[in-house]
Amino acid sequence: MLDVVVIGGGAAGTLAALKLASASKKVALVRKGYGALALCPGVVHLPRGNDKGGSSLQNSIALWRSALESGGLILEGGWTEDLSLMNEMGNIQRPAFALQSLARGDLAQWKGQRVALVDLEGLHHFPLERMREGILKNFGGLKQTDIEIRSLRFREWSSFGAVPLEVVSRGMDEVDLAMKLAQKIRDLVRRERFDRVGLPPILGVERHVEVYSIVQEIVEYPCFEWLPFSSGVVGLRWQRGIDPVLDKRGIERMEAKVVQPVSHKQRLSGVYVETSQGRSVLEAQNFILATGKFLGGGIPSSPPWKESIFGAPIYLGKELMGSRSAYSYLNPLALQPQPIFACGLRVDERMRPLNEEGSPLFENLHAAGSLLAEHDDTGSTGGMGCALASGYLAAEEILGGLA
Amino acid sequence: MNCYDVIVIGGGVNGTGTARDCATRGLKTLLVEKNDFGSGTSGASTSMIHGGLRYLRTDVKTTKTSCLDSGYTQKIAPHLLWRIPFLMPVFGSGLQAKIYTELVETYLEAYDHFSVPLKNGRSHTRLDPNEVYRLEPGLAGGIHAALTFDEWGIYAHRLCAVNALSAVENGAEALNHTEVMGLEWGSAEGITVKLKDRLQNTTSKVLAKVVVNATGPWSPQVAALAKAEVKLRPGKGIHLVSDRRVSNIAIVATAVDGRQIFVLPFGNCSMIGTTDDDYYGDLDLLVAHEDEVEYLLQGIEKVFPTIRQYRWTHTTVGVRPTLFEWGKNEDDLYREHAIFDHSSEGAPGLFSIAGGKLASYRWMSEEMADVVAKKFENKNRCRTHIDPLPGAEAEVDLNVVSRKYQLPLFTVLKLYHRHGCRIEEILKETESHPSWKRVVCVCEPVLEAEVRYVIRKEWARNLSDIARRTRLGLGSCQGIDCAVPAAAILADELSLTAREIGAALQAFFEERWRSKAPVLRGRELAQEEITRHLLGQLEGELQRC
Repeated sequence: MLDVVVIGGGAAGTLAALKLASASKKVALVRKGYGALALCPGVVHLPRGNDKGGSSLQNSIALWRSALESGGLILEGGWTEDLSLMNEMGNIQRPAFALQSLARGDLAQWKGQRVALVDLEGLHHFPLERMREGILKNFGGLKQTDIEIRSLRFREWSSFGAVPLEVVSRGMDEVDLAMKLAQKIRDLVRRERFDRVGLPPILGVERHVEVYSIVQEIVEYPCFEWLPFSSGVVGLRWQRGIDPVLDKRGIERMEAKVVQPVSHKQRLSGVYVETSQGRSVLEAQNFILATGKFLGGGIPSSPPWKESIFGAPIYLGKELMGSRSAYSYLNPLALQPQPIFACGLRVDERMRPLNEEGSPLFENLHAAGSLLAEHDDTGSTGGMGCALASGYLAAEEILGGLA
Repeated sequence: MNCYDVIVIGGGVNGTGTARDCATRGLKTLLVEKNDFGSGTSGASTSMIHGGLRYLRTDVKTTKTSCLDSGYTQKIAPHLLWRIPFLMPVFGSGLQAKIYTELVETYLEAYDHFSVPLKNGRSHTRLDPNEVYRLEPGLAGGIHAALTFDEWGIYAHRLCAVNALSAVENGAEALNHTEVMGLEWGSAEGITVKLKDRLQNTTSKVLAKVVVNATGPWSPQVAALAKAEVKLRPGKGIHLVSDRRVSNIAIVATAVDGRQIFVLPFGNCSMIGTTDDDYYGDLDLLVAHEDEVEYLLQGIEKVFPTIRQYRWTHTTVGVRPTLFEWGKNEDDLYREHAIFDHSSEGAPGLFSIAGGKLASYRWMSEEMADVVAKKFENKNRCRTHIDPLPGAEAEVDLNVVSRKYQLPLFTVLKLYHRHGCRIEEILKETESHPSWKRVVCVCEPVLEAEVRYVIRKEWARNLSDIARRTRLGLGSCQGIDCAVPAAAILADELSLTAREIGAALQAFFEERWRSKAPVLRGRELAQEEITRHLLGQLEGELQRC
């Protein structure tokens, strides 16, 4: 029999499964398919206002880094100072950690350097001049002459007009194509003296690590990617990188939908799961629920507001959401945070979801990730940090209980 | 000071139609619109050039003129129209259902006499339940029979834009985002009209001998500038728009209060509409409400049970400029129009036109232009039912265009539906700028060349204008993918500063939000969770404004 079933394959669920597996527990990770993890921006912001030394946050990120690393992906950055990374619009984001190819674009390192940004025809939202203008404006201490723009027409895709970044990025998994691009870039910059070369985030998905190292080798300058505006490139790298690690650590991956609990009084004995093969029961000692909010399906997106599988009540702050319409939780101004995205489960000090009376739904069901109330990850950064830390905490609670 | 024969205020179908008519008769015409062409009632309409089926019972003349005008519109702008087959299911069994079916059929038979010859309609047909469910398996059970008829759909935003374009090509001038701030009498040369450019925040004055107030629900406000009165009973109507086709045929349903509502195909999407409620609120800040959304869903659900599972990306909201009557339900108000001559109110030369339906805009514009022309003793005859609108001057072989510019036929087809034969003018630019073949909005799709064209030739001055001309950002992503690249193009064309780009994006997202918040439920709420993350990345861009 399984020790733990983790429901939900986003960052929180995946991290919880890794933590439990590291304590030699027998774990199954049930997910409907790719979701939040594959869509995430692939950087870790620390929750604002949070004590950076918070041990579960540190431990969870350390665990996440080591797991990604065993999948070949290296997260760079640090606890004491955030990175300063630019995105396609020339806006600056300040995550603590990012994938190596992105972290190497840290603007703090640019002072006194000459940086080339490669303008690949048809791939950009804004002209690169605007991006440079944005960087100079948003990040002090750099001069216009520090950042050069070099334009390149790459026939292989420019004949299509523009293609979404994720499509081009997948295309770069063809190593031959990546080499061709790298040679063109080298020809473009070789006669000049640069300290680093910036590229759009297109350096592969499945074979990102290989593609990145090939490109660096051929271009002969340190290369970096700037952050994409759309989701789906860097997150997918994480997802593809972490899956083999889960297998290696003995975590059973299941593509299934959890539909219903099997319980006995205060104890959850199993859950019904539905796959294309049909319905079956998955039994375990403990369960972690990390199914996300509306996007993940943890909360059905129409009232009455009840958690999808166990029917736990959904709260917004301290208020029970009940049956009020979504509309009543919206701010009329588009760009203000929308209160509804801060909704979720309330949990006890052991991370167990609570019913309306304030007692745990089940003694052996724990919750993690954005399904928890109060953190609106859409209105602020830090969602990834919260997800990882809460997954870690939920796993620790189970380990504590089992011990 | 510039002096015009006639100034037409209002850029909806009636205003642009009247301006076109006046210009083609040789009058020196200025068209002003305080927001954008088609941004008010016209653009929020059900987008149908229908034959007035419902008036057949009480007002045969309206049916006839509607059908006639629908026929004209097909001739002058065929590229903007598409045929919408309608299905009217009859539920129940026994004698009552049988008799009801016969009654409806007789009614439609009478309609055929107008719709078939005058507006190129197809005769009604009667389907048995097997045929009905084969045609539309999504319908609720218990159908006794169904009847079909057809109407024509139209891009109403484009109809306004091409009417304005035609006016200008016939010598008129047109200004959008220009509000009339005052009307003054006293000058010997005519009425002094004070204008304000709402984007540049600049003011100016022009003179006109005649002023036409064609501002729809705003017409009482404009008339009030001259202390004149237009009495309306404004009726708010909303539609829900889906991210995909729900059905390829329009389905008629009955709402809880007995009103007829429909699901109808619109471009790549479907629309549900409409409501009709007295409206007393702010005309410049229209939002749909939950009860209106629910009213529509509940009504359609009876006929099409899975309707709530579809994703509704946004709403459209407009206010009908219905003529005032006391003591009637909204739906029973006459949809006729009227021309008000304000000379007896101390405002000689000022006319207002209000009421009517989108379907007969051309006829109304003609009547209005007749009145204006008479003032100038202009004997030129109306040509607006004969002369093609811009884009309809020639036929285009889309296969040839597709091969010539190496673009997918679908892209070319969608472009043709918006611009007709002007498609060549748009695509010619890609020969010197190959990168303008870039697809900016994937949902439609919209090419960079089209975005640049509507900025250069069709007065698009902000992102919402571009959306109205091209449907960019109105699909399933609601602009989160395409607003930024479109803003970059806008910035390039109009030399906008970073601050102005931020402001343009902010204004666009606020407008999209007002339109989608009322239907933020189901899968749309899940989509919004992603959208919010992406908006967060735009933070700096938006803060710059």
